[in-house]
Amino acid sequence: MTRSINSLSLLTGETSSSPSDSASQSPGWRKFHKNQLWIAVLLPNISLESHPDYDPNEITVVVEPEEGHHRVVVANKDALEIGINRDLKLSTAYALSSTLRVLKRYPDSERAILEAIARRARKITPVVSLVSPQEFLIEVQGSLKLFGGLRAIKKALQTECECYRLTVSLCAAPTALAALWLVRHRSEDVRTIKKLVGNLGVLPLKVTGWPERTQLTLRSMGLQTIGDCLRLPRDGFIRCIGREYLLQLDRSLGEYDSSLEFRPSQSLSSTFEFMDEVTDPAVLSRVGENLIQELVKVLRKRQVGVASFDIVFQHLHRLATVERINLLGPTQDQERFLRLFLDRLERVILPAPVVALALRTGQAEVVVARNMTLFSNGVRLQPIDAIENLIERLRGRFGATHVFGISFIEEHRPEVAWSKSLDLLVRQNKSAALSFSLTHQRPLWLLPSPIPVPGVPNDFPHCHRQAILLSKFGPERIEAGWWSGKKVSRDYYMALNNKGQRLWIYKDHYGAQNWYLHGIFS
Amino acid sequence: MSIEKLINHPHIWRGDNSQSSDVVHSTGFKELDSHLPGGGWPTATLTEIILDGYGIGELSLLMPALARLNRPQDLEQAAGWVLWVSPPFIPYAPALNRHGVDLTRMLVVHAGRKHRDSLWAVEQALRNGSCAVVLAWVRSADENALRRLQLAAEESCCWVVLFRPKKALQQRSPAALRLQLLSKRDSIQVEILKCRGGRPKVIRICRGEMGDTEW
Repeated sequence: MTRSINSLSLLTGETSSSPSDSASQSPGWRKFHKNQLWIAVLLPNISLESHPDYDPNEITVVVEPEEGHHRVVVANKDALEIGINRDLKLSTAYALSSTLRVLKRYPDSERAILEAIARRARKITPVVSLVSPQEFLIEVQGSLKLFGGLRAIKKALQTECECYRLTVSLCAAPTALAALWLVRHRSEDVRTIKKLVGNLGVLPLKVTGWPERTQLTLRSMGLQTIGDCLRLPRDGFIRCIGREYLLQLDRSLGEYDSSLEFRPSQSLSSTFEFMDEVTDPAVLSRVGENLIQELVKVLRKRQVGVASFDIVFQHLHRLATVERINLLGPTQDQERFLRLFLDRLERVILPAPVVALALRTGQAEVVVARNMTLFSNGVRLQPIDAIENLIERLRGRFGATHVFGISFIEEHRPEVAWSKSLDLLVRQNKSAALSFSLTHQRPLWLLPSPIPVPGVPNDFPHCHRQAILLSKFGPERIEAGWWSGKKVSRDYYMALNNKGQRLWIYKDHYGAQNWYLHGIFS
Repeated sequence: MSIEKLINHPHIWRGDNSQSSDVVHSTGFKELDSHLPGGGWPTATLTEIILDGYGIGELSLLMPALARLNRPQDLEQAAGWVLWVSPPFIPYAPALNRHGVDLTRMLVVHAGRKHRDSLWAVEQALRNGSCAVVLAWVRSADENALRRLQLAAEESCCWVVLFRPKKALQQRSPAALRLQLLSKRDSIQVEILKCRGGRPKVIRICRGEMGDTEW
């Protein structure tokens, strides 16, 4: 059950942010008109068939831990024959067969195989959408002619899956969700929107993958099929079950556009192996430079950029030293990579000589290259780019948390009235207009945390050996924060000490009523 | 050696030859402006401010110029960033906002304990060219390091302000402007120790002028 919930949240998550969501709010509902044909590919036994230890000649099940016991996820044909079905407890399965072979589930390898097939499906169409863990969808309307019709495409998909020795079910429908639901019930293809209602109507509720509780509610109302749900009044359905489920029904019938795209992850890596053990940083930097040059060439060719990369120093008989470099955004700028690489190389402490140097990039993303001027008389970088470079270099050396911006928060408590902001460039777009204005003065320096000041007496005004309270300023009473648990009740004064510093001190009304130094007017 | 030859020697620099072509930014204080060559803070150079401790008015002294520098003067010119390198405390946002400093163009770097790292950060900022002002708190720096910064500042048209402890007084400095700050009861005393194209002078600035209306 949990698996299908995952897939659902994937689908709903995507569409809720799409413009079609706003259409659902308005009474005039946009009719879905784009001509599409989706094929849902279901690989029901992928967790068994992709398992490295699977032997089809034995009675085998794949299990998954669940609430203190193991549960059968998939059973092979032999196991099914002796009555071991999915969702059975492992102990029950053992009772049915003592020679049972039990395999643990490998979600990572399942995912890898699914992605591999999805990637190959991109030969047929660019629109591929992954519904993990065992299904994916492709949109083929535009490819029908080129590949010789739906039957040929389905055949091609089948052969792809058979290459991996996977059992596969396919089903085509004009909407993505309908194709998915139909394939889960192993139904026939539906080619036109008109026939969709009739074909979907007979499907049991199970295929929707809605949460068990929702399905139970529906069943207790006497509803068995999707058709039963469609016959209910819309507003009543929203009230009892929820708007998102109604939206899903609409989407399956083609009321709204729904598609989410799968893009295969692309990360690049290349390695240079030395003939000898190397310690000389000059050699390392030269090799690194070559690797970066190669990388940038590939990036330019593919028109993608990367936002992070790892430098891997491999040692003999030792774990490799991995240095991660993060950039502020995806780029293919060779200079930038090189500078960050050299900065890091300068600082990295290698525990042993290096036998190989590798460069591994993070996820590659599409970047839009900016137009250059024809005449390079103004070679100066755009200021926005320049500051990005600076931030990256400083962060590369001092760490991301030590390079930050400062923002003003409308708050009375002094320590909460400012904050570090680490996403410096996003912040820029926000307008700096603030309606909040303080009537009292604030110091330019704030102490990271208030320091207790010994010996300042309670009387006021008062001259003291160390500090004079200045009567013209304050006291300013700040009492706030009861709602967040960090209650503050203080009287702030300005004081002058014998060094000529003007201090911002306060008397705490809680605890021992001590005096604290909180800032310096500078 | 004839006197013309001596005057034209590249290593000899004449004090009265004020470099009026340099861009200056008004300090916001009339008294100080009138004693600085060109009538304001010299940009594209190194300015050294020597003071004991912190918080005797060194920031208020810079605030009018900072506020002007990091706001765009006209639409075509992009505003410059203000970089704070290893400040001793937190630059407090509400007060900065009150002084008119654009907080979205402020960057703070904590460069750790080594002064070499702080100097590195300053130099990177200068070479980068997107900062209008770099404020740095550097405990110790040798003359070579300062000279490097001075050259980099001239190249990038960036104004570098170094805050240094009193013991730096014993050191020679290539900075174009060198000030010492002392705090008095109701004023701060600005002593111009060295000023390219100007003369040493002691100036008093009233607290009242520095935006502290309640004094």
